[in-house]
Amino acid sequence: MALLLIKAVNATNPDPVKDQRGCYKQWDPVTVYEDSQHNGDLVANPITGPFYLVRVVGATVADLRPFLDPEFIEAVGPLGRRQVTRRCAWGFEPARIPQNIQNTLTRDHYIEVPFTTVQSFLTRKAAR
Amino acid sequence: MNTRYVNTASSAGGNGTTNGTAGATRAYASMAEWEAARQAVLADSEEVQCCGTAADTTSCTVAGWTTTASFYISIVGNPTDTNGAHAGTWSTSKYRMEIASAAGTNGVWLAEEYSRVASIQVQVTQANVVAGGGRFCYLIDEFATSDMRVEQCIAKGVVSGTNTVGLAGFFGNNGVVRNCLAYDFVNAAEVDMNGFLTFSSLTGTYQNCTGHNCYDAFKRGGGTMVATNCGAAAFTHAGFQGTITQTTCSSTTPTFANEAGDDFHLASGDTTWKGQGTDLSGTFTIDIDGETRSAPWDIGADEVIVAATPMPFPVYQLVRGRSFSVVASGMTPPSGT
Repeated sequence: MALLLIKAVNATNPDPVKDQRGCYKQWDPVTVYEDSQHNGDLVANPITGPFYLVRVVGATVADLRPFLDPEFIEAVGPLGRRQVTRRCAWGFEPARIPQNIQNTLTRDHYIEVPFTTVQSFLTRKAAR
Repeated sequence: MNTRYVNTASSAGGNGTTNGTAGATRAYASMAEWEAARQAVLADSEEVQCCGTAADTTSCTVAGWTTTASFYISIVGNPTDTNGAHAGTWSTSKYRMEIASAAGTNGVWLAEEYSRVASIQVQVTQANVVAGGGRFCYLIDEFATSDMRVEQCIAKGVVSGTNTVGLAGFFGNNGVVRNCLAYDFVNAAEVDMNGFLTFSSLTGTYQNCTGHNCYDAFKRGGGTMVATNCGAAAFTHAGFQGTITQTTCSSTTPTFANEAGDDFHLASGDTTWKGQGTDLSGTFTIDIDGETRSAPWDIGADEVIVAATPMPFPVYQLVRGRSFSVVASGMTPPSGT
């Protein structure tokens, strides 16, 4: 298992270019952790602030890491490195998330779901 | 100043207001978590102090903030936690970021002006990476232009296999890189392996930095590169590649404290870099360890600090009714860090 940290609220910047390139939006994946990084005890260690924590059953950190990629244009700028055009290429698509799961996330900021379920929620923003 | 904490021993989902590892106020578990939690239009400066013995394995890009000269971002190794700021050599008991081999990934990427990193360690592994352009332990973005600093930081490369993209420790296009160490950026398959790199139309300033075992320790690929008191050691191609404005820099390998053990502090007996630098005390006063530099300045990230030497002559004590008797003497040789 692995843990996926998801942004629960929008960050915004008044500069629209900065906003798209830099700001995390609600349902954006932020980082992944090994399963040991949270024991599921929400009384001792509640999920606070602007995040949801999703325990992904059947996934490794390596499985989830590609979903953290930004959206970019290849081979521009110095050394032909990538130019980021959107902070997160992937995100949970709210319309695909059942209401009971959204309710649990709103209440606990935490849920445990299979990898196949997470994969069905995650879509490329550019393809929406 | 708002202070927040990253502790890799913490569990995910804290609010980062303490360095604790349990409870609602526990530290963030990674630098990326802090950045995502706190990005904002700043109305006060923001400092995040990092510690922990477990590696932080996710890249951190500082972007989407609004900063000013008064309200800036500061990322530092925790100065008070035992597992916080390093002591000038790579340590797995201190906060460190370790980035796996993957196209396009960097360590710490400063994409906002008025942002700073200090006393952090970043290692990037690169094996058979052939896409995604150059990768960097520390990247000062060429599209942000004001007051970006990387100080007292360590960059370490772990390179193997066949690579056709470059890797550099510090990519300091338009900022200041100071008191930093980069080593092991070398690979037989890829020539663009650099300790310190400038590659834009802007000016990268490098002061008292040390590059060791790199293809090019310092390289200007474009723009302007200004190096003062910088030292290149054990490079495989060039110490300073391209047109670089150099002041008291050296391409001669000095005597390090333990070169084979990756301890690149200067040995106290070194005569190659020790005392050969330019006094920059009008700009900064410390070295990679945070120790105060003293004239004459040394080249490179470390300043040899000579320990106080006991008086090199016997101390005599008069004892009533007797002749002189010797009670102490000292000839301890100087030592440095």
